[in-house]
Amino acid sequence: MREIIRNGLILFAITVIAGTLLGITNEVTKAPIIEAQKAKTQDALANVFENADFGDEIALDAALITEYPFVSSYYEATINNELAGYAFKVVTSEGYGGNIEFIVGLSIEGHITGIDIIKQAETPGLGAKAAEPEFKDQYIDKKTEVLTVVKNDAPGDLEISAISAATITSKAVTNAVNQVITYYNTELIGGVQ
Amino acid sequence: MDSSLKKIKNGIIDENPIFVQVLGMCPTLAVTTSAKNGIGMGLATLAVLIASNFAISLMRNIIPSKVRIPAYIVIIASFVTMVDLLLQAYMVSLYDALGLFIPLIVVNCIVLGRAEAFASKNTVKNSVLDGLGMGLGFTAALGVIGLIREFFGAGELFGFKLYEALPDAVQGQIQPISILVLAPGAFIVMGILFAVFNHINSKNKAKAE
Repeated sequence: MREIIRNGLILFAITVIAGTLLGITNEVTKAPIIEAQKAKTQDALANVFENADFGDEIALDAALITEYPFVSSYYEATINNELAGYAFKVVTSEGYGGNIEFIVGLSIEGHITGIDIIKQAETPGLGAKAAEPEFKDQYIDKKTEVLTVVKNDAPGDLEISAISAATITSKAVTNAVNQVITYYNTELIGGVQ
Repeated sequence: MDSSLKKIKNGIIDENPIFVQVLGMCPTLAVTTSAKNGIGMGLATLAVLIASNFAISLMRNIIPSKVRIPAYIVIIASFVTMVDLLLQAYMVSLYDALGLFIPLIVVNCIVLGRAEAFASKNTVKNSVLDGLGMGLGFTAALGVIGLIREFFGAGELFGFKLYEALPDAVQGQIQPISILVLAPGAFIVMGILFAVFNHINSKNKAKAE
């Protein structure tokens, strides 16, 4: 009985020390981590819209979240104080390794200006290639109509060529882009504007 | 040979965690799709191994044997979480490349294995050297596996696209063996390297005798 209490107390002491150290590390790194993530979002915004200024992050209406579950918020992009388009922050849960977070830019002329991955945990060497130009640059200049994923090297105007051996990732990204396009077409062009 | 150098060589060659002890197969198979990922994972594990070996050998007389495993896991998990947070805060690009695999170090049997087999019975200095040797051995093994898989499977070397640099005529003749980048390729490459490594090791041993 005594031994059990003694062992338990020693283990407890170790966990208290470990917990304290973790708490301190967390406190110290909290601000830099948020900063690093913010910087990443800014970089991604600049990648999809060159030379544009961005307004504040605008959250989606609560009523629309069920209809567009992957679209989390958007920014208005202005060039020389004129509205040039929108940059959408997207979080899709359809990825192979958890959520994929990325930015999609749409110009008011009705084409995609680009996508840029902020955060993903797809398989390295396979799905993680979604962040490489070879895949993501396919979206540039696509019209804002529904896109489909195809498994060949010669995609048509509204087709995206899947990453080989990573169809799930390719589809996840494309589905989320489609949701942005639908949102843009029905809510932004048709509604507010 | 100097005894500390011997400790390090022991981890890299005589008791290489991958090829001789066959420990830590999960990250070995999962992350070695490229040389960079393999080496990055190896170095992160190296840092945790040295820290946990140090802490555990320091407390080896305090930790009661009956609760040693939970105590080791608490210590190891704390170090891994700290490495994870620090990378996220100060080395974002490395964190992006390794992200998911950092928390996996907690369940890496090499770290717990060395705590149990070595650090709990040896001095702080020797434990740190053991951690260094084992970590380097692990890094080297993962680097080599990653290099081979990346080169033959994707036609790349440290992300540099060698295959695409070839003239079109050559590209028509040969293709990267893409199965090597996929999961089965990890087993194939590792099996072949196992055989080669142990063949050389046993030959050297025979020569020594």
